[in-house]
Amino acid sequence: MKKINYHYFLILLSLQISIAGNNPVDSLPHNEMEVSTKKQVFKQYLLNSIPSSLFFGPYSFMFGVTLGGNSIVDGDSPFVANTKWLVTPLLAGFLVQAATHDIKNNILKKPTDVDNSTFYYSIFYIGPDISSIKEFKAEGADGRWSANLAEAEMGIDYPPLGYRTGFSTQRFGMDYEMSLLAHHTLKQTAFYNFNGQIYNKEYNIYVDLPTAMEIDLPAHFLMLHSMFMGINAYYVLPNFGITPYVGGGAGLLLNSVQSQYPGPANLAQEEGSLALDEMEMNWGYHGMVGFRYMKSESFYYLEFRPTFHNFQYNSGTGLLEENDQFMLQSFQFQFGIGTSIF
Amino acid sequence: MKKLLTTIGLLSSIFAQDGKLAVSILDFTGEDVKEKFLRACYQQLETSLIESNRFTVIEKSQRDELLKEQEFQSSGICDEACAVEIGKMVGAEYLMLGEIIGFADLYQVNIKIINIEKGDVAEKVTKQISGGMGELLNGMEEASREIVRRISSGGQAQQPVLQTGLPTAVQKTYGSVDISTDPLGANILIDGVERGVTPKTIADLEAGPHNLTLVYPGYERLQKRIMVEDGKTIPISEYLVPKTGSLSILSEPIGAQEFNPRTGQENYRSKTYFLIYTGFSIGALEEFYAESAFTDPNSPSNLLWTANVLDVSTNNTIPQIGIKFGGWNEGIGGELDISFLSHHTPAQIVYYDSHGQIFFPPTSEYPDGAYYPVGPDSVDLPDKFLKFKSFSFGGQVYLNVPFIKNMRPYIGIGLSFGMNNVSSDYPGPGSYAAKNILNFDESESLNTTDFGWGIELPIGIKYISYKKMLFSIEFRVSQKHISFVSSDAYQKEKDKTTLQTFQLNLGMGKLLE
Repeated sequence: MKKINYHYFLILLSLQISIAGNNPVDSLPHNEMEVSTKKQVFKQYLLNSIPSSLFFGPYSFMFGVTLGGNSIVDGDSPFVANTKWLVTPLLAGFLVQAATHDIKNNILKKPTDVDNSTFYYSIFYIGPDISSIKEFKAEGADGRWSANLAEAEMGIDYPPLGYRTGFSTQRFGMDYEMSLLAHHTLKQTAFYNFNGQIYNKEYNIYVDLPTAMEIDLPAHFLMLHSMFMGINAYYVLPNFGITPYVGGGAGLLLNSVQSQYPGPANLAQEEGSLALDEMEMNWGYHGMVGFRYMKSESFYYLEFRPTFHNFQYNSGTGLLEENDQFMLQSFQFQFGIGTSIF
Repeated sequence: MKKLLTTIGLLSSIFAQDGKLAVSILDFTGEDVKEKFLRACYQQLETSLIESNRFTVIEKSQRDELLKEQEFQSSGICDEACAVEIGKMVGAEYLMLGEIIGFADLYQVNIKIINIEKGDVAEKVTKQISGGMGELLNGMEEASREIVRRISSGGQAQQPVLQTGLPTAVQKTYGSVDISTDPLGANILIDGVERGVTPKTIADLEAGPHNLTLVYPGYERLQKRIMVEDGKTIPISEYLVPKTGSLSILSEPIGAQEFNPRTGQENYRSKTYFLIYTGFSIGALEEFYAESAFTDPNSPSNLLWTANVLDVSTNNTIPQIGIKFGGWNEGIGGELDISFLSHHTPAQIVYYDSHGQIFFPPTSEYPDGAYYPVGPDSVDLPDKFLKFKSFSFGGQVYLNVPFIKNMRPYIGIGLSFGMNNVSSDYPGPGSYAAKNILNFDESESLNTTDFGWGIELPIGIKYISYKKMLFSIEFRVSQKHISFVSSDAYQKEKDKTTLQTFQLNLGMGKLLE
């Protein structure tokens, strides 16, 4: 898995560098740029903002995850750790936005056309959600056991936060989205199904376990952080004072899974360290239905989203190492403000 | 003698309307323009002249009758001299010659206004109009207004109003103006200062040039430069041109076809709308299937137990409510539907079939726990044992049946997705049934939310009122596929069922155009 992650990052970096290398803004003097329509200026805007977001976003996210993990190690509460995690990507996002704003105002040409049929926007949103883990599956790395849990309850310390930029015509819209999500398991007793034999460290033997098992999970047993980078497409419905729309989206997830416990098969809490600290690339998708209240240069919106984010990682150590996978299902109620780019 | 009397009668009727100029229009000629287009343009000009109320229009039928009586012979092509002759014969003061030349996507309209008394071309209006018949008629309307304007000012007694020039007196001298408009009541502004409404004589105006503005609601603002002369009263009479706008057409029944002059065909306009609805429903859980979350210890590939119930009746907890956004074309329509449905199971005895065994945790009676075989059985469910709330959004397409007056019947099919919440004061069906078998205590309640999908089959009628209000009555068969995890501890189970409802919905909304 780590090799796969390595290749993912390599491809991502290559893409970022190649896109940035083709950026005409870097290669052309300002007076030679012949950009004049909103569409053309918007393309230039994306060529400037997306590579920097793709570059600095994941790195700041990883740095934030490390800060949050260190905070746990230092004995801080999960809430404090999550706050430290959140500050770093938010700060990076702010700097990228400031740089993009500066490029837009000082480098890109002002559009000269008066075509207002397409609205180019950027959005900042907040999206509290109701979430749960579905179909948690664990398999021993030694192939001698498997376990599955139908459902686990999840909670949030901070609601998901995100940024979107795109365009909308009278009938159709599309945007690019980056968002930060943090979820954790709530305190609960989980009843799971077990099959096979598992290694017993104390007696150095493999033992049979019953199929029906239970486990008392403490709060924040699993701490999940994700950065979503994806595309949304939607159909705009007739306006009646507010503008409804319906659509969907999909994209890449940079997932971090942290825990003070090595894994579900080993619940010996390790004080003063992170027993589980994994990062992986995966994918997620969502549906969306929402309403916009349009003003001349901005809009407010409320959106409902069922989202499905996949996780897959390794946990445990030694002969108790295991492969875990699950789907994080959430129902997000997103609201935010969109403003015109021009 | 009879002919002479007829001619005198017709001319008398024309000249009987004092104060109005007598005008006539000769048939339009054209190149590469259809005959019906020429007729339509002729009618447009004639209508504008009549509606201006400034002219007595000698209509085509009157003109032809007069010419026939006087045995006028025409070769078919009429030049200015011929027009003057015709004008004299029919008693017109002005006569108009119209010509339209058609190009690929452009029309040139030329209209000459012949002053019959002087025998020359008094005015000429030329317009280039691109587009189709609709644009041509609009252009004719504008040209007509221009003609009305030009003849109206030319037809008035010569006004001593100068467009240029400066007052010759060095010392301040004063004069006055007598302003009249058609229609009366226009606001007068002289050099931007309000001076009352027409008709009005304004005295003590400093001699020299002034800016006059006349404003009347619904008419084009008129601005001109006037020259006030020392000690004189200048009469000013102006004709105000009405503004044009769009026309909202309502018909009984709704849905009358509009004629597209460009294509020469009837044009159906699609409708968009939103609609809020509510109603009652009866329902049932069809094919309720439950399976243990655990596998059989003796056969790990098999589940510990499964159970299924054919049918469990449900009732509306609160009326369902929803909002639709949609549109229809001539034969087909589509809509987005966002709805909330709430049902619960009433008290009832449910018979179920089950296989396998259930596991009981260790108790004082069974210190190692126990597996208990299960089979077909029944359970007495209390009221609101399971409560369903479904918030869903989806799309529907429907076929429109032809209109019955303002009513539009339809039949359709739809797909929906959404959030299904299942709650209970009990842990779930498995735990509840197990509790009935071996009396042990489990007090957890159920509250779970999952993603689900559904199929909708609507059939209904929409009624469109004159004020574009929309009312609907709809019968809908809805099937929502619900899956959730329920029960507690070792009875943990995965449940799947279909909530089938028969809904009667009443809606109210508005057409959006």
